[in-house]
Parts: sequence; C-alpha cells; structure tokens
Amino acid sequence: MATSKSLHNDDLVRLERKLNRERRAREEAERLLEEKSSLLFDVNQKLEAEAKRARSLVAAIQSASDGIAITDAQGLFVFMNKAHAEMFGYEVEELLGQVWSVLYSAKELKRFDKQIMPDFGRDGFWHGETTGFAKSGAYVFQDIALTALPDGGLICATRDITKRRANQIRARELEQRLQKAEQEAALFTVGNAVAHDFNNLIGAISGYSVLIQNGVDAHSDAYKYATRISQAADQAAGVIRSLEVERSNDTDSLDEVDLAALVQTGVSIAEAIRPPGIAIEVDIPETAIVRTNEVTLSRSLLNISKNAFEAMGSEGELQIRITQEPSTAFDQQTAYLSLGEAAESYEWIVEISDTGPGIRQEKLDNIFDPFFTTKATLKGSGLGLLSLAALVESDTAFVEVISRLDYGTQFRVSFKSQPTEHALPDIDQDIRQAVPQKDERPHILIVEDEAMMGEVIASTLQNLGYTCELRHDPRKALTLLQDESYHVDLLLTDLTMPHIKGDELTDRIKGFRGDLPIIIYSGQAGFIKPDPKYTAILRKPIAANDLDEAIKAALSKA
Amino acid sequence: MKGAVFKAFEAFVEERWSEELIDSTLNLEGLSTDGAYTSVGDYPHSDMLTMAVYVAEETGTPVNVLVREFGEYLFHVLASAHTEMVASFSSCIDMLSGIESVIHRDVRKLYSNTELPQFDVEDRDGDKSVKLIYRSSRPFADLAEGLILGAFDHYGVKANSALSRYDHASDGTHAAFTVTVNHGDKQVSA
Repeated sequence: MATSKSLHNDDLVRLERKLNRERRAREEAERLLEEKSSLLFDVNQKLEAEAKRARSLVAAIQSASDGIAITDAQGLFVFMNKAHAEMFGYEVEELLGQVWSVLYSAKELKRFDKQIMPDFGRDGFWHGETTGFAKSGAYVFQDIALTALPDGGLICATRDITKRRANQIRARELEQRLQKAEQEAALFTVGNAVAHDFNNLIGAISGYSVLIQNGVDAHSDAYKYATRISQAADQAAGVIRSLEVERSNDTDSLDEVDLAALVQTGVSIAEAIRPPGIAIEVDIPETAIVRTNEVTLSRSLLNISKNAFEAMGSEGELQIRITQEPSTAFDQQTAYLSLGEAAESYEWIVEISDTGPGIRQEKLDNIFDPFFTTKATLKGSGLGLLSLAALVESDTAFVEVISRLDYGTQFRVSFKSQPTEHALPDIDQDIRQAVPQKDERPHILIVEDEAMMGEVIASTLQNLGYTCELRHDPRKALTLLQDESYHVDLLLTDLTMPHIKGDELTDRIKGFRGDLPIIIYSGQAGFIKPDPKYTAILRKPIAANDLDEAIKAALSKA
Repeated sequence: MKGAVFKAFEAFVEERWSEELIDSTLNLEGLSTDGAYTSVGDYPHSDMLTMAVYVAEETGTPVNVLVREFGEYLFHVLASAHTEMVASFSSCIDMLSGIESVIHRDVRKLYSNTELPQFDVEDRDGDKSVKLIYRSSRPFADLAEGLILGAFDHYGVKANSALSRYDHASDGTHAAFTVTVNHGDKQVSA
C-alpha cells in the first residue's frame, strides 16, 4: 500500500510539474501569438501604404501626357499607359503582349539595330529622336528615353514631337520664303531705282524732241528726225516699263496670321544672327491673330531686328513685345516718323525696341525712302525697311518709328481692328470733262529736283499755252506758296525729292491752300497711294498730251 | 532552434523510454524556460544539447546515436504535419534535393528571422543519387543524418539505399552526405 501510495504521489508531483510546464508553454504561445499578430498588423499597414503609393504612381503614369511603356526581356510590352498607345493610334490592349518593333518601320529598325541598341546595350540608357509608325501609317516623331531594367526588359518614356517637327519645317519654309522675298525686294528696289533715273532721261529726250517738233517746219528733215527721236524715246519708256520688277503674289495676299507664332519663329531666326553681347527679351501672349501678309511682316520684323543689332553694336538689348496697349518707354521721344494711316483702336501692337544710340529726325525722315540708299549715307538703313512700306499698303497696319537719342529706337507696328477703304479718284472721268475757257492763261508751279526734267516740263507747259514757274527745292516752293500774294492755279510736283517728298509737300500745302489742285508724278506710279488730296497722279515719262489733259481736267474741277 | 523540434524531442523520449525520463529531463537545471516549450517558439540549441546528453547518459545510449535516432523520429513528425509539402516531391532524392530550395523557403515564409541549416545540392543524378552539403552554426550533423534516414523510411527505400557521410568539421557543423537509391532493374518511384 505504502509503495502504491508513494507511486501515486510521484505521479501527482510529476503531473503537477507537467501541468505547470504546459501552462507556461501556453502563456508563452499566447504571447508569441500576440507578438506575431501585432507584427502582422504593422506589416499589413505598411503594405497598404505601399499599395496606395503604388496605385498613385500607376495613376500618375496612366494620366501622364508623355508615353510610358515597359517591355520584358523578350521585348514584349508588359505595361503601357494610354498616352503611349494613343501616340501611335492604338488602344493599350492592342499593344500589350506585342513586340515593340511593330511600332517602327523597317528603315528605323535598321537604325535601332546598328546605332541605338548597341549604345543602349553598352550604357543601359539611350536618349534621342526616333520616327515611329502609327496604326494609320502616318509617321510619329518621337523624343524617346530608354532605360534598361534588371530583368532584361526596358522602360521607354516618349514624347510626341510631331508638332514641334512640323513647326521646325514650317519655320524653315518661312525662312526660305523670307530669303526669296528679300532677294525680290532688293531686285525690285534696284530695278525701280534704275527705271526712275532712266525715265527722267527719257522724259527729257521725249520732251526736247517735242519742243523741236513745235519749233520747226512740219515738212522739214529736223521735224522728221525729232519725230523719230520722240518715237524711239517712247519705245525706250515701254522697254523700261516692261523691265520693272513686279513683286510676287507671296507678298500680296492677306491672311489670318498668328502674330505670336510668327514673332516666335522670327526670334529663333534672329537668335542665329544676334551678336553675343546683345540679349533678346520677348514678351508675347499665347496667340495674337491679325490680318496681314505673313512674309512681308516676317521680313519687316527681321529687318528691324537686323538694323537694331547694327545700331547697338557689340552690346545692348532687343525687346520684342506684343501688346494691346502701347508702351510709354519712348514717350520722351526726340524723333518720330509714321507710315500709313493711324486708326482709333488696334487689335494688336508689336513693339521692337533697341538700346542703340537713337536716330536723329532728319535721318529718320528718310528711312522709308525707296531711293534713300542710293542718295544718302545713313548707315544701317538697308533696303529691308521698305518692307514696312509694303505692310501699310494694304491698310491693315500703322507703322511708327519712335526714337530717343542715347536711349534707343522703337518700331511699333499696330494692326487695325477694321480695315478701311479709300475711294480711288476717277481720273479718267475727270479728264473727259470739258475744259473751261479762261481769260488769262493758267499759272502752274512746277516742283522738280532734276534740272533737266524740270526744264522739259516747263518748256512743254509753255508750249501748251500755260505760264509756269519751276522750283528745284521743295522748301523754296513751300516758301513761295506761303506768300498769300503769289497767284498759282495748279501745282505739279515730283514725288521723290530731297528734304520734302511730294506727298508730304502736298500735305503741308493743303494746310493753307486747301483748294489748290495738285498733280503728283513719279517714275513708279505704284509708289503713290491714291488719295483725294491729289487731283491726279501721273507716271513719268509724261507725254505732253497726257499732261495737258490732266491739267485741264484738274483746272475744270477747281 | 524551433519549438516544434523540442516538442518532438519530448514525445520521442516519452515514447521510446518513459514519462518519468522526459519529466526529469525537462526538470534539468539551466534550461532556458524551465522546460516549458511551445511549438511556435524559438529556443537556444544549447537546451537541446543539455537534454540529449542527459537522456544519453540516463539510457546508456551514445549521444550521436540518440540524436540520429531522434532525427529519424523528427522526420516522421514533420512529414505527418506537412503532408501536402512532402507529397509535392516525386521521390526521396527529389525531396532531399528540395530541402534548401523548397522546404526552407516555406519555413522562412512563416518564421522570417529563424536560423536554418544549409543543405546545398551537389552532383544530383536524377532519382538515383545526390550529394548534400550540410552547413550550420550548430553541431547537428547527426540530426541531419537521422532526418535523411527518416526520409528513406518514409519513402520505403531504406533497404535498397546507401548513405555515406564525410565530416568536414569534427564538431558536427559541416558534413557531406551522399545518398544513393538503388531502383534495381525496374524504375521505382522513390
């Protein structure tokens, strides 16, 4: 019994120890479980945060405007955002699982083989431009960055530069057209300068031959020879007319032009010829639509820029601004010149300002003169500025040059909101009117800087039965006319003269003798814009009959 | 060392000898948790060495034999607890070759910070033979040998298999085991 009881006690003691061990083990297991649970919770939190970050990243990639695609080691697309697929005209699903080479032409793939992939394999990175192939068959010009992935695949980030490429092509085309227009303008100007001088000479020959005819017997040899001289002069005038260079249509048409894009293109060209010490500052809106001739305006802006660079020398700043309100920087001007007719309001204004020495008024007055380069010595007044004159011909713009000595010069081209139209004087109808009978012979004041031409016209007028007076200097003619006692029935003036041009002379005279009929003439009648202030516009060489008819018509209206 | 190994040792001693022996073993001085082990815990391997030496002395069994026999027993315990994993191997050689790449990978999923011995596969010849290189910071090459023998038993190839062992270290931390399974004339799935 004792042994049995002892065994029973041992069993109990052992059992108790075992129970204690089991209890401690259970407590330890529970503690470990809690620890594990807490760890799992933390891990779960971290995972959720990571997943959220990953989702944001994917969303950002999906909505990115740049194309992003990932390929595996076999070159198959495993990821692609919408922008990448759309760039090539596909849906994302159509390209996933496809090999990347489906997006390129055989020619471009050769380039990948020989140039791009060897560099990419060596560096693990490649950046450059490639030409892809859209689903429609159209080219896709891409800026592309390839980065190698550890698994042998690659990540491709790309941007569609088709628009940029198109703009580059457009800029190149515009540059070529500008160059052509520049050449044409030079030819036009030089050709017409020559024509102008020849017309004066032919006018003299023609005029003198008529004077000879009037002074000799109509049956004499002298009369016959004078007639032949006159006929030859007429033929020579015709030849000169046929030689005159016509401007191409490229500079005639008016279009809706985005001034902002045009200036941007112009700046990129100007950048190429900019001296290193000169900065170009640009302040332009996104778009500024005006109605003008694109080539003429481009030439004008570029030529203004070129002139500004020349004026500034080695350093300075060229500011180009497109605005709706003119700036006040040049309010304290020392010289001013305008071209065209001002309007009450403007759609857009382009201001090109330099920090050069400025231009004196007397020099500024001549910068738009077509023959200025052959007569004067002002440095930097190239033929190019003539394009500004062409710009105002269509009456869509008003040009101003504002200069301040030791401060700079600003060219301001203001585009009109509504193009205005002028009624052209009906010369033919006026000529057909009856000539009034007068008791006294009409007195005509001739203003002509070329001595020989003036003498011919004066002799012709006298032969036609008029009295006349000739002034070679328009300033003297003006002084004469300012004398109220001076009687004159008609003013006959050349257009191109030093000091005061014929059109300006007309404006000044109209200020105090508003009723005086004025006939203006030029070798290039196209340079004179029809205006009611002129009673008639004639073209040199002027035939005696034409002159007589025009004078009679003008006097009949007076 | 994993608590599951300690729990298996408790069961091994109790089954092979007696409840009294395991009780006295777990009552030994110096054990880290006063002999209370749970299968989800981790315990110092010195506890296992203390207990193995004690049981060997009490039963008159050499320690290496005791540990090897425990290894055989342990394999059966683990195989019955993880039947799906064991079933995923096509043969004994396949299973032994997958200790490192499959079994230990799964163990690390559950116990990321656990320290496991390394079983590198060298010179595997299909289902016929494989050379395993055992490396551990603990001296349990005998346990590894017992586990391999347990696998032979589990796959029923004990009678026609050979196991040779070469100790690279005398303390049982580095050894090479060459396992050969003789399938005879017919192809036997081992």
